[in-house]
Amino acid sequence: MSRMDLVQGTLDVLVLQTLAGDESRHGYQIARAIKARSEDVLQVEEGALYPALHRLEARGWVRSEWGRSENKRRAKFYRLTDEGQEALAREASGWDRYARAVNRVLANAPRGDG
Amino acid sequence: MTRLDNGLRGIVGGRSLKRDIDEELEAHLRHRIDDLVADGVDEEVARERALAEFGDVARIGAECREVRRRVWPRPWSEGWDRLRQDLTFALRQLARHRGFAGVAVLTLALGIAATTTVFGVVKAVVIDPLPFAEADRLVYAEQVTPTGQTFSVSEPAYLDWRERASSFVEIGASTGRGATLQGRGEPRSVRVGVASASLLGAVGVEPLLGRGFTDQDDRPGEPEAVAVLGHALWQELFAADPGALGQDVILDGRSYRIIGVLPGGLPWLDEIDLMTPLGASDARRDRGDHELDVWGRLAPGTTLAAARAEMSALAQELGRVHPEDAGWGTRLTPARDVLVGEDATRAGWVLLGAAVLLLVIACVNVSNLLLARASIRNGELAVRSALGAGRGRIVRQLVTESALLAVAGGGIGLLVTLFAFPLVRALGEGRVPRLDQAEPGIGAVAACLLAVAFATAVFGLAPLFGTSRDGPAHALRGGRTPGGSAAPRIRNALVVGQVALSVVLLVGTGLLVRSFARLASVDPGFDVDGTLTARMNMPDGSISPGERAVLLPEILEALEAIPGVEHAGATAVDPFSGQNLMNFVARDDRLPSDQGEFTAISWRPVTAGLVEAMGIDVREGRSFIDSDGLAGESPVMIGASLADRLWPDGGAVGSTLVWGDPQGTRMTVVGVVADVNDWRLAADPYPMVYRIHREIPWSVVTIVARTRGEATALAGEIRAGVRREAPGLAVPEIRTLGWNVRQATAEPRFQALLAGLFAAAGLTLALVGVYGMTAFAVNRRRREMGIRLTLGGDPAELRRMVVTASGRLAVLGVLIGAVGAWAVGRTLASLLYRTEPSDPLTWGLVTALVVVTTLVAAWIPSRRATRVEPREVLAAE
Repeated sequence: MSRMDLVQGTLDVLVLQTLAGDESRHGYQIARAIKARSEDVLQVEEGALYPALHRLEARGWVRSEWGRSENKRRAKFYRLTDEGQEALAREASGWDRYARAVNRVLANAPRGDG
Repeated sequence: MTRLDNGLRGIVGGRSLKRDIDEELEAHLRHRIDDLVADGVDEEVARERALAEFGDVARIGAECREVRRRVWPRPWSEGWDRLRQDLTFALRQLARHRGFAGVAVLTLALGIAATTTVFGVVKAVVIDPLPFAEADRLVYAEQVTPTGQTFSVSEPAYLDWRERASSFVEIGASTGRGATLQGRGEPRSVRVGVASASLLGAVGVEPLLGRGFTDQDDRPGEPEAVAVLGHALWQELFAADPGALGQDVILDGRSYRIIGVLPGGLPWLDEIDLMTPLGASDARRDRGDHELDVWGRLAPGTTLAAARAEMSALAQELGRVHPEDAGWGTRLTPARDVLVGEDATRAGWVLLGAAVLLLVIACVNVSNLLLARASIRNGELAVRSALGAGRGRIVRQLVTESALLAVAGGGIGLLVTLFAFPLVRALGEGRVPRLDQAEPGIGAVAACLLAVAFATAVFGLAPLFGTSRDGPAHALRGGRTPGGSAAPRIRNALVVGQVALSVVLLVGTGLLVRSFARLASVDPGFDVDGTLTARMNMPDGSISPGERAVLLPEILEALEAIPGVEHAGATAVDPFSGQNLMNFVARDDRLPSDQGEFTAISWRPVTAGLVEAMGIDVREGRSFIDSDGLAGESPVMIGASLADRLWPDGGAVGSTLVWGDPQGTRMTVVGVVADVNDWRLAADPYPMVYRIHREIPWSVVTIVARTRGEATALAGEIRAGVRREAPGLAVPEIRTLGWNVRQATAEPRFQALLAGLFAAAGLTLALVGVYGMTAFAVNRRRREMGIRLTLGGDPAELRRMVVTASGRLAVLGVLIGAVGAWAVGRTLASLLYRTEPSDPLTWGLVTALVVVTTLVAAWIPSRRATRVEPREVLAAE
């Protein structure tokens, strides 16, 4: 399986998912976590994470505050809001349905040259 | 750019969104580098890898900001952030087009400086209220002869008015005289205002210190003489010490006790050194003796028209009782028209109008520049629009650029204004009332800000006509709408408007400049060069009239003995001092029975030698000689226009004139001299009679000396000569007749100067504007011309077509402008000296200049367009 370019909505779901626990994380941690979870399959410019973070914050799904990271550097920490929790559940199920639908189609399709 | 960012952030203050995002991205990179270094990667390499993994930091930062901007309600800091972005972009744009920005800013600065300066001047001179209490109820009263000439008021008439006129709460009177102040340093000449007790109340002025006159002070024969000190003399003699009250001053040998001090900064009262009571001075009980300036304060609820009606009825009534006043009328003039002057008021508004017009032209010019550039930038704007910049954002960007230009222009304009004010004050020094109070005050600054706001609004709108009309796709294709679009019509309208405005401005200023040129070259009837003047006061207290009649010829004789002095003479009326003696004469052989049919004349008591000293031509007979009047006879010289009127067939010399009324003195005409203009330069020649000073020995005279060579070198000797001959008298100041003439022309000179500056600025801006506008409009047709050429059009024919089209616009503009210019000319008419509002030279020159400029502006770009390969023109588009 080749690496896939990340589409926008996907990244949002991945970010929300990463923040699903109670603890807040800063941008670099989130980027690392996404990378680890997708097992490097999803190829993404790390920077692309930030517009997504700001978009989520603008929607009120996450909120942020400045703090100190584990190696004593200033960093901006993000945490899921209640709204964000609901959105994650909604989006994740939607994505799940979509993924299953795609899988079904692919399973029944004749093999192409992809 | 970084430094600018920091600078602006410093101004904006607080933590900006951009910095927040930058720091967040930087933190990410730091963490990545830390991790890589921990894995043993070299720091430099780690940084490069971190950046490579991250992507374009600047672009991502911008995306983050864009996200926030789109969704969030904008807090203030972000508004600033965006403004800063717009400003940065605008500055970069303007820096890239320095030529354009420079021209635009200077054009604006010129327009704004002119408007602000003129507004400040006009405000001080015309708009500001007179510093009198309820000045709009103050009127100036004069008497009018049966033939319609205006005279000062006789004391009996003034007393009648005071007693009987009910339109006024108070009427006051004063007259001016020269006197010698003694006992405080060297004797000096002072100007005394001989005033009624009611005067200060009538004009609405409270003494600064002490009190004004009471009715008791103002009684004939009052033993204790009192005086009110003028503000300037108080400061000079007493160093503004309130202890001046109660002290004594000696005027013409008589002691006066100071009871009050006048406030400063008042028109006309400022010219008074000392005020003494009118009633206590020599009685002026003669109804034929018109000497008083009379001021009345209208009663509450009384209109000027009602007061005029009452005074006119009163004049008729008095005329029935007193034969001397039969047929005389009264004239009431609002104080503003007397003290500011109708002409100055009108000139002020005209200048203000010219300034506003100049500003409009400047704005139109800059709009045109922006319009021209906007059309060039169509492509750029279309790209930005396609990339998602909203129309509102593009418009805001354009407005930011315009505002930047306007603010820069306004700032420079304001600076220029600050320097212009002292200059203008110095130039108008002399007879422009209240000009010394002109300063760039709140009003001028407000006017400047208003001008900037106005300019910004105009520029903000201009590019909208040129661009965003057709939508980005159209512009991206490089398309221009050859017809159909409203743009060409707007451009044509702008050309016509520019031409019209220019014609109005140039004709108006041209007329004023022409008028002054005429005024400056007017022949006063005497020779100003090589003269020295000395104002002499020989007051009654120090010297009797009889002694005076002997002393003056002795002084003149002594002066003529000074090497370098050719002639010396004296006149009781200082040329161009504003003073003018008037009376009536008639031919003895055609004596009317009634004074009303006498001829009103100006007259001057003069000595022998005056005509020679002033260089007045003797046309017939002779001038006065030393022995004239010694035997008690009454010789007179008359001016040429009076001789023509009374003796149209000649024969004036040797004839007899009657003075004043049918019973008056019989006088023999000994000579006819050229007409002179010694009262107001702009006045038409007036009938003049010269009587011999020996017969009417006035106490204040102006000595005129005609010199060979350098006149001013003799000033010291003349002073010494006067001091030797008349030791007890105030030593006169030595001036020249040229000084008097300059004083007389100060106001028109000032007007012409301002008008000239305007004409120069207006000419530059107008022609640049007309040229730019036309050239721009023609340039816009290059594509069309290219197509026509490709299709085999004849280049010469094409050029002719373009030039003709522009010529038509110019003619239309001139016609529209002519209507405005005609109206302006009519308004100016009363300010113009021997210059018709339809002055052919001015009109011809202005029309030719504007039309030729338009044609040249059309021809040059059209030639350029038709000379190059049509393919290039099309490609360039």
